[in-house]
Amino acid sequence: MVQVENLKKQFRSGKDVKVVVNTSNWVAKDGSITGFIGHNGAGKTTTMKMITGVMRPTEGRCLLNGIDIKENPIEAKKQFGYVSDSPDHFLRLRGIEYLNFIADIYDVDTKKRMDFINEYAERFGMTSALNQTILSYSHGMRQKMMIMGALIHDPSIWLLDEPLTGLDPEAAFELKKMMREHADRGNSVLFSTHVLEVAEKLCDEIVLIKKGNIMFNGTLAQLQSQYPQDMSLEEIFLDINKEESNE
Amino acid sequence: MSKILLLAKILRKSGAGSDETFHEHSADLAKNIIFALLGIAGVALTFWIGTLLGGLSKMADFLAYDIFQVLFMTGAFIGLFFAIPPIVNSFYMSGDIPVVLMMPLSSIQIVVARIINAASFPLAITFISTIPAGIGFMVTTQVTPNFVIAILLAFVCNFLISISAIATVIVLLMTFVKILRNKDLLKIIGVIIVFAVLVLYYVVLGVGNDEKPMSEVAISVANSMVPYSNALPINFALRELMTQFSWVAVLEIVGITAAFVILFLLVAKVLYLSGAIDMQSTASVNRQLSESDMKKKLGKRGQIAAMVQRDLRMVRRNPAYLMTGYLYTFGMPILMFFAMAMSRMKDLAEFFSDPANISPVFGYALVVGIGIIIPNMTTCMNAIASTAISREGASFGILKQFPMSWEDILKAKQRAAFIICESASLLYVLVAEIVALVLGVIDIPQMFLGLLVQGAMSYLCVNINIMHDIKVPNLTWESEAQMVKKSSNCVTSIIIFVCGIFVPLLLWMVADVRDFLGMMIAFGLALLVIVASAAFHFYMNKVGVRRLKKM
Repeated sequence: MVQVENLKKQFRSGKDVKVVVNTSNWVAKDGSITGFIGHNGAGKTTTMKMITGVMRPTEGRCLLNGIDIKENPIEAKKQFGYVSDSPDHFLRLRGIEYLNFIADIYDVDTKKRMDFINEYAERFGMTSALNQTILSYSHGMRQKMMIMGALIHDPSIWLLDEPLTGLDPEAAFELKKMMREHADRGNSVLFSTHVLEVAEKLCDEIVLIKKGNIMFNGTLAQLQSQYPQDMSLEEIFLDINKEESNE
Repeated sequence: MSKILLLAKILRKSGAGSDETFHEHSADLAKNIIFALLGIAGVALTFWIGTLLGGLSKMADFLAYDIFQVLFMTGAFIGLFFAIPPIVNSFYMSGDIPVVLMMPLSSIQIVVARIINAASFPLAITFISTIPAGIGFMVTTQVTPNFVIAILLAFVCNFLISISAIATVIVLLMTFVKILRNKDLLKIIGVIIVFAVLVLYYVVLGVGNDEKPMSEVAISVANSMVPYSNALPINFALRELMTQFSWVAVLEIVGITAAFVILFLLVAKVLYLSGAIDMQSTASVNRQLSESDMKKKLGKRGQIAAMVQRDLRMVRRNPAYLMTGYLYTFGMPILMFFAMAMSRMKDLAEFFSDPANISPVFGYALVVGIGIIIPNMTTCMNAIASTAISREGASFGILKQFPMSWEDILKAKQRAAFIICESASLLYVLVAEIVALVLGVIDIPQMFLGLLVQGAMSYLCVNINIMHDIKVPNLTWESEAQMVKKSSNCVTSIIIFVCGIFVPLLLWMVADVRDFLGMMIAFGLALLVIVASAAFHFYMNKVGVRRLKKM
């Protein structure tokens, strides 16, 4: 479970202070896929970075399976696997070397890493590319490799920042299936996306962020109940942003 | 034509096909000022060389056109040397090629626009290396006006010929030699060629010239190069023009130049597009890993060992780091040894034949030079330590998500840099010390003291460079080559380099005084280096880790 408590991030430039994230409490529950939705610059990636310990919050805290990322960072970091919005990392390593490196960092035993690589390389159609450098991969292949790296230590929390970008239809389908399976096993998946149709079909819970503030946290049905019947998530999202531009 | 100029302008603004696509205005301004100052210094230097050559030509019965023939050849060679990397990069490797290939432009429009950008730096270098020298020569000797026309024609035409020739060869090679399309491999081949040329240069300069003064060596080298300079296509006509004005000679020069340019345009028209399009193919031959291969590659290691291996792999596989890390550290001492050995061959022969008769100062110079100064320099200026954190770039965020303490991450960074720098410096120190031991220049305690001090000094250098990178990291680079070039660690490296020379040098010199005072000073200095190294280790593990946590 991911618990975010009164998270605030502000940047200072001389006398100017810009608050980019200022959220109340919200949760990505166990057994659920939680969609993190917001327009560009709403604060999704900044929030994700604070949850993962990449960025320090100005105020508030993030708990991963009850462990505070600030107080006990190493233990908290073992709880999640994170796929960032850019897959261009460690490009000079071969796919197999990258996965082995990540497995070492997370102390995965040899048999488990071998079984994982065999299974997931097959699922993502990456078996024949494992011995190539990541530099030679296409965007989608890099994304698949980053997803495999994030999941190799079998974390209970999946944090995925725009994970479907660049994936081919088969891989996107496979990842969505994996997310469902993972959540159904009682684990939590928090993923950010712009593709609202995907969020609508896949998510059990929605966290809607606008200008750094959480506008909604609950199930899709709860969100829809606040709007006229038959309104899709996309229409609701556009309506919220329209309200903002009218303000 | 307007499309060519427009494309050239856009390409220049977007980095002219280099790896750098983003420039800050202030950085550009500083760079331009530095380049302008260097240009002025270059002009002044070559002007002075021109006046010197004018004086020499009177004394050594060395004809003006002989000197200029060599000068033109040197200018053409320098232009050519500096033109290869930007032309290859701009024609085939630049990131903007796919976009340009989509535009309704002909091969000739693309290559001309690209060559206008790629040739600007070689043009400046050729200009600096020839024109001021010509003016300097004319100031000191009485030459006729046709000499001036000849020099101007030589500059323009030799440059056009060399650029067209090299661009033609590049297009042909990149079209037909497919192995060269691997950018990384091409860079490594380039480095090896530069290395080979430098070694060759030292051999040419050194053989048979070790007893002569430098001015005589210069005349002798220039004299020996005259026959080679006749290979330049327009030199016979230029020679004629220098002594007597002739329209036939002028037409001949312009005609030959035009022929080279036309040949290049024809080759580019026929072959460039197909080669550039082929380069865009990203397909690679995938070899599936067998079960046993997988088992071999999936060995389990600790976190720090995994980080060290990843760092060393990434450095080895990246030409920019390979050059400034491995090749520089391990290769530069050999190159410098060549330079020293070739220029002092006679002294070396004497030294090895009867070391007892040679002055102790020369013995120390040899041991200290090869064993201490060079390894220290390569350690200090090695980019492995000075880019330890910056190398991570955008992936630094990924490191932050690892369940690893910053202490362990720093340890891994230190170890990776230490493995390369220490192994190189200790290797060369050990070789030099064994030679010195065999020759009786040092004794065994001095040898161990030297190794200990060198080890501590290298460790200190590595740590200072890493600490500097922690304090001023550059994590927003777009290419590794750009990051290495723009690394601000040079100043620190030079300061460390100076310390790195003088502390061990002093130690060695003092340790030779085999009395109690000498011994005490030697051990005192050794202790100082070791204590400084240990103190900095603790400082870095405290302050460095604190800074890393804040990043």
